[in-house]
Amino acid sequence: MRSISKTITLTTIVSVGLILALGQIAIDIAITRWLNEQFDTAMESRARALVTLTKFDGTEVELDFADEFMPEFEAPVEPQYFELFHGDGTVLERSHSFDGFLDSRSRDQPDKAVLTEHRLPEFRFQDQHDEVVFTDLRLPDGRDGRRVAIKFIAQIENEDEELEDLLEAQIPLEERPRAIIRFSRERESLDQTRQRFHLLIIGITLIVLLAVVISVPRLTRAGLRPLIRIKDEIGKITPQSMDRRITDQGQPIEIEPIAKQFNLMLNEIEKAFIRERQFSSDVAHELRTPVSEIRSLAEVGLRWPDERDIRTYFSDIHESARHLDRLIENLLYLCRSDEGNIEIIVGDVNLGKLLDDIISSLSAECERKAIRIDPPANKPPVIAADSQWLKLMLHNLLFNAISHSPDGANVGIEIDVDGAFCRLEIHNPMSIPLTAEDMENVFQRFWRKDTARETGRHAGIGLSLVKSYADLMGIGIDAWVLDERFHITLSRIRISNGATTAP
Amino acid sequence: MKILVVEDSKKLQKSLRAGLRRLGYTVDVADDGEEGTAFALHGEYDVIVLDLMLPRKSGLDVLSDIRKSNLNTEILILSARDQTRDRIAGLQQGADDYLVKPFSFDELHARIQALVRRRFKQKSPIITLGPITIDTSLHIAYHGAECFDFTPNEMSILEYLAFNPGRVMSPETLLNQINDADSYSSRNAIEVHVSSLRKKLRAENIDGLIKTKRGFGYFIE
Repeated sequence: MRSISKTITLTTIVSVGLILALGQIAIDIAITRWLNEQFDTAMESRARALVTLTKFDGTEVELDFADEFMPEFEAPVEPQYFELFHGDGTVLERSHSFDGFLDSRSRDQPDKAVLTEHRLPEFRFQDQHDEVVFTDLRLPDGRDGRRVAIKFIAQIENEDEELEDLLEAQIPLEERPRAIIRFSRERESLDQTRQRFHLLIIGITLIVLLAVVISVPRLTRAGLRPLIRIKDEIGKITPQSMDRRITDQGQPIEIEPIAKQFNLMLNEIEKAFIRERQFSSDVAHELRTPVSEIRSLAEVGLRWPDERDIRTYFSDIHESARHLDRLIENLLYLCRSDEGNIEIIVGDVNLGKLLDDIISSLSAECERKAIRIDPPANKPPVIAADSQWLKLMLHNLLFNAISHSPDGANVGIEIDVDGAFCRLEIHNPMSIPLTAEDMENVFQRFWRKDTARETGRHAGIGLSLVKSYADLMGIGIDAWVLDERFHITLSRIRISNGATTAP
Repeated sequence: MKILVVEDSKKLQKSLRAGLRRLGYTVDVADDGEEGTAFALHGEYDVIVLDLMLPRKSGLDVLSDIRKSNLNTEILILSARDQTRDRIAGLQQGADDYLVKPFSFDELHARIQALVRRRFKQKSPIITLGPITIDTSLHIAYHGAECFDFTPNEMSILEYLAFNPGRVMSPETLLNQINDADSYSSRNAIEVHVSSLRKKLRAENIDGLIKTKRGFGYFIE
């Protein structure tokens, strides 16, 4: 299972590691370059100091060098080196630090072997500008070193100032002698400094990575703490405590809207849960009553078959069984309607004949309560509808009208044709008056004005079933009370093509 | 024993009344909550079988009114409501038992018997009165291996006296045990039943079990 904490930690470590690695490379390059530049600049300065000591007095080039002022060139330990060449490559002067590494002849004479071994760079410049070339090399004493070579024009200098001015004036720059100074020194100090920097950067990187590894999970956990609290609170919400809500006040601004939305969702879930529980409870109750009647009658009848009115037990059991059958059928229809598992097959339906059939099937109920059903004054049209479901709807409506009417009342049926549609209205006087609040609930499942079945055996699902099927068939349904009569109307019933009245 | 059934289902009324009468109980039936309350407050019932969903007045309201009037009649709720909260509400409002529909008639009978025993602080269904034994669960009386041939009314009177040993029961109280709302018997009927009981007991050489306290009523020691 994915973990936000682990994902954040891993992502952060990888990201920080990558940034640090790239930063390390960049810093390393920059520092190395800077160190090299600093090192080379220092070397060049040193070499140029030697250049300033190189003079041309009009006849020859000479180096005005004194060892005592630059002892590093003759130090026995870790010395530095310089070589001064004529422009043609012959040695003019070498530092004493070469002593021991060259034979005596080479010490004072131009040494081709040295030149071959330490080849002069290929200077490109041909004009009066100096040219500087840096190279890495191994020093005569075996250490790694770096060398700077500067090709330059020796400056005119003579003790006779007049002659010096004359020479300056007479010898053009391009005819003055060229010289090359090569200054070499060890570069191990540079390498060590670079290595120290490397180690420092690597150390810093590792410390930062370690800090990230340690701190990020903790920070992540701290950041996720409100979510964990919410998770704990949600865990306490059970079917027995559906009224519990999670804390949405005082949460971080990122969490607060989530908590509020979750609470809104919980409200809806609780409502649905209560509806579902109520539905189950109502269904169980409605089923239990006829079952208990059947069972009780059967048990008593079987135990005492000589009971005086034993024959009525059979009719009672039959009636309860029919009620149970009707109830189960309606519940199944309701469930199928909820699931959308209803096939609507629209065909021509003779509304007049359908009403006659239904009224005929309810004759026993009408007779028992002395109810009269007044047929519609207008001739009912042939309509386009699903006959099975329409019959179920009208049967429920008329059965309801009979049940909720006082004895001896009349139930009215009105039909109005309006263009391609017709409207069917059923109305009846009410044995128990309905209030405006009641009218809001008449289509609710298991809603009953008389919770104790004063108006007969009703589960309170008939009208909700009718509404459900009306919605499925695109038929409008409305209920209201007028002049102490309950009216219910089915509207937008489509009339069959080519026929407006029944044959 | 006298039982009131408060139930709006006519079919259940019919079967319960018939079955319980055949078991020797005197049974009254009320159709709705108002009627049930009126019956309960004036009928001196030993057990009331009470539905919860009743016309005019809910079963819980009936229960509440009965308990407010300090009636200690045993009340058994017989309801299709099976939720725990319904049972708790019923029992907390003063019901002594709760049975969910659909139910077994035998179970209902057994529970009624248990309530009757509780009412008279009798743990066992068997009551021994000297040489005779009364099985209140089967509503029969024995003398040795011989079973008495008492009528239902005689058995009701004997059981009631046996459940209340040492207490003098007036003829009116005993009359209430055998009269339901639809029937009427005079004081003399009790004298006739008691006389018949004594005669049948004497036939088994049992004399003086049911005593008379002149001007007050009958009792068993």
